[in-house]
Amino acid sequence: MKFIYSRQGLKGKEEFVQRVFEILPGLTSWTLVLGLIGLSFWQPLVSAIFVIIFLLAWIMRLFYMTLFLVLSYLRLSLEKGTDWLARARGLDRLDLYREELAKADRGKKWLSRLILNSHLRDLEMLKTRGKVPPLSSDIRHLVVVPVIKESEAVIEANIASIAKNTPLTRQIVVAIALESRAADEVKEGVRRVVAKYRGEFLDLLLVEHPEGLPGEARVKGANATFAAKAAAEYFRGKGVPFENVVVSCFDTDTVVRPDYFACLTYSFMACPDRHRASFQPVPVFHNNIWEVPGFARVVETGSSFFQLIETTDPEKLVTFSSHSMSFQALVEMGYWPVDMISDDSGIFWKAYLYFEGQYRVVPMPMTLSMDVVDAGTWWRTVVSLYKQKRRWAWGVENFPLVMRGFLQSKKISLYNKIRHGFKLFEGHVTWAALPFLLTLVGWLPAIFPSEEFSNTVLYYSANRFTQAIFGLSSLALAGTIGMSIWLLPKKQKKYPLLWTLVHGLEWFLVPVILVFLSAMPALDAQTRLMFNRRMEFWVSDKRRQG
Amino acid sequence: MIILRKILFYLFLAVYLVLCPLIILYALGYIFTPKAEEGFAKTGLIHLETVPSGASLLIANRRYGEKTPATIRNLLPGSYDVKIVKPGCRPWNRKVAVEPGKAVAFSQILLVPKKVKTRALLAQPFRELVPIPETRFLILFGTRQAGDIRVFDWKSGSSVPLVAVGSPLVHEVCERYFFSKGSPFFLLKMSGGKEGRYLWCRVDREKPEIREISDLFVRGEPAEVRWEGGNPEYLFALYGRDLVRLGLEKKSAASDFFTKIQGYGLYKGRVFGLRSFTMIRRNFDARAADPGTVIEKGTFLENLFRESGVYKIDFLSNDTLCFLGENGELLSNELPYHFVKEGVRGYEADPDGRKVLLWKTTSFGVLDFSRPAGKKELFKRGPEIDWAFDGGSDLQQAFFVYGTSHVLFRDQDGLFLVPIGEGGRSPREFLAKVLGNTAVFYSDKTGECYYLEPSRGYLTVLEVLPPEAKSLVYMFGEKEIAGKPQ
Repeated sequence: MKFIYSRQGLKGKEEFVQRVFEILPGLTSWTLVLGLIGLSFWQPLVSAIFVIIFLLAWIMRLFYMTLFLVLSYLRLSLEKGTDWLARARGLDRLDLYREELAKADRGKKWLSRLILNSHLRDLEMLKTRGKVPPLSSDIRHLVVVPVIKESEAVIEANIASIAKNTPLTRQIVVAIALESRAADEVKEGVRRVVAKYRGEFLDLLLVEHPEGLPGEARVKGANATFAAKAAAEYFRGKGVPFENVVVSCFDTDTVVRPDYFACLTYSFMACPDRHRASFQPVPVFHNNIWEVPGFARVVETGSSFFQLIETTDPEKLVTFSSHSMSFQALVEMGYWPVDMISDDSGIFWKAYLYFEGQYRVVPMPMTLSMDVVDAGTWWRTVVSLYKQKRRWAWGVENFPLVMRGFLQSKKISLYNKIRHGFKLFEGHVTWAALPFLLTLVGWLPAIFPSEEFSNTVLYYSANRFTQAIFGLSSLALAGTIGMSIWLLPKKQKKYPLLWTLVHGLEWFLVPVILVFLSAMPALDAQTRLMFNRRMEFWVSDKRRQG
Repeated sequence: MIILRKILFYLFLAVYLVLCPLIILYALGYIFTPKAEEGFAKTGLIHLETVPSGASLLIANRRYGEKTPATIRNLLPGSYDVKIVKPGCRPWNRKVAVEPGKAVAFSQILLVPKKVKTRALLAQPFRELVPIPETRFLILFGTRQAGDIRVFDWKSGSSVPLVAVGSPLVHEVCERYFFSKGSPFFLLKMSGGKEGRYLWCRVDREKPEIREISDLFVRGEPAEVRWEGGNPEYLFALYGRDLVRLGLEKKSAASDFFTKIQGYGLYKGRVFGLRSFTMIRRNFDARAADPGTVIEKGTFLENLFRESGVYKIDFLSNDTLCFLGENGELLSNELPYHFVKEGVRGYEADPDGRKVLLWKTTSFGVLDFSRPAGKKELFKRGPEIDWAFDGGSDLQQAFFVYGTSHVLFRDQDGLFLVPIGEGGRSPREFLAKVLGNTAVFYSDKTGECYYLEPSRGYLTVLEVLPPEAKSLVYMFGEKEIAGKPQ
């Protein structure tokens, strides 16, 4: 579908529809928060019933999500030892490989049998659909790394981790997308990294993105797009067909595992609709997790968990942060949005509309690690985290564009339009409003009861119910703490027992974090969108120690 | 995973859709009773909190496992006999009407010990106890001789003689005394000389400080003397219907500060007078040429006050004034202005000045200025007095206890405790016998009542509140102005 995934140049009805959908999320969030506060005073009985409805929905959702967090973690753990390269090479000779696997000893452990069966199902589907993948040796990886103010250490950690992906490094082209407005020391750092690692890859391109190109905003997507276009020229020049190229757009602080590209190669090859799919690893924020203040650790562990849960729902999964996709699809749809901050999720929606719903995200059972925001001091880290979350929440800018696209599309089914539209809308509204309802508004009818309300059975029941819900939620919290202990990387230095205890207790900051570093930035972003106050891309502060 | 996710999603959704209405109905009080005639019934509940906590419950002769504080739910509408028992405490009994969907809450039940704890504080006989309201001082008279007067500080538990042994004042006899609430000063009129001597006593020092100010009383003995604050510069003495300002520092008496007044009150450095159906205000330090400011006048004041009436004006808060007439008539500046025609013997306000406890010879009631007016009233009525107790014989004093949940009162020579605001009249609990014809004092801060024991006249303290109730009272504080500069 020819749909311009941008709010620029809209006129008349289109502009009106765009504004309506820009206002809707913020208006709904504010109405929920303020409406329930008002109801708590004017109609506490109605408010208490709403609180019960919300809290019950929340606790069920919490358990539902915790369940999938555990399942997702289990899957990740089971796939950890997989030889992805062997699997990719196996796909080069599909029939033979299937026979070998069918005869292979499946082991006594039911979990390993489960994994093998899942792998066999993938092969079966590939065979049935007849979408033969290119040979693994013919596949090329393009890695775009946008840089603007990141330190040399951060960039080098990224490139070095890619360079450890032997033996596929000779199939990888890294394109460092450097903003021309970057500081000289940043540019110097990039050049040193390029000089050091050029020989490690098929090629390492340094593409400087000029400022102020027509139609572009000062956003990461513009930089990445410029580099991807340069890479397209590069591949054309080398005669590499685009359908054999998998492009990965990495945040600068991304550190991949040595088998990341093997897993990506396999995922790409095993996917029958590989040119209608993005490939999403699980981003975890572990690079400097033990070097940041406790609240930052809790925030980002929560983000990692959320991504883990999201991967269990491929039908609704949307690209986030560092992700990969078919280069052919990227070129076909016109690259990443160049005027949006949330280019990571934007690229999925752009593709979904461009391919009229024939596009999806394939979760990869693979983590890649990024930095937790660290601005040096406690307070600056709080501010920096707030801005980062607000930038993430600015992903709400996709909602009006997607809804306009849905209104225009005749091929996307109504079911899919409602499903995706509702998830996008509900996700953002819940993000902004629910923490306020949980931590503040839900208690108001009990804290400020009118004389009339305090003499009702509901007043006592609502109190009891709220306490029971929060009691149950502590079970989920205990599960989360347990998961964090398993999932987080081992501490590099030994902490005394007291500090270990403190690290566990950090999770009790969750209510405060939910309000100040989750709901408030989200409400801030939605309010800005409501009032048409656009945001500029703001790069989070990230540091490396040592 | 997708299929599992879908199955679980619909399972969770189904559970939610079933649970949600059930929980809401239960929260509203609906239960299903197995009896055929009942089916779904809307119930009520009774909430009970006691001090001390941990008391057992009997409702309609059924013993409940819960201990107080407890909420007894799922009670079908009707009348229930509620009994609370705790070893060592007197049982608490009420008949409680439960309505569908409604909660009946008794959140401040004081369980009175079977044997009330008392202890003698000063083992010497006294005849008279004079508390200075809103201060920590009690003046104790052994006889009327100055040497037999002691000042007791109930906060520290210490006492000092008013005059030191060997002082020339020791044998002088006190004829009258004057005090003002919230001030650590009191004025004694001693016999001696033609007009008597006036001693100005300050008691918030390590040793009481006494100074003679007889020179100020050139017009003789006033009907009343009042002042304000912890370091007053002026006293205001009432002679007939004239108010005279007495300058403590300047040692001067300015006549005609207000003349022909029907009443006056002091508040925040200003004197408020009622004269010819007009409210006037003058600063304490107003010059002679300053006639004062008229702050209210009009026909409605003529309808409100009697021409011949004399009123004591008292500020309960910044906005609320009380006018107590000679015959016990009680008025206020808040609607409906006129509260009691006659018979009010005294009143006490809560620390916020929004609830007033007032008593007559046989009854007491509570006037709640904070209660909002009914939304659908045709006539704007304002607050009304809730007569919480009737059946006394000679009520002398009353105090709010445990916030404003109970009232402690002195009826002749008996001390009694009555819960209020529980709907309906509650029986009074006898606490102790006290020396008649003299005051008692209760502090909600310590939860203790100070009185003179009748047989020996010892200053004795009675523990009204158990320890766990005191901490609650401390949280909300108690008004005590002593020491605040003027």
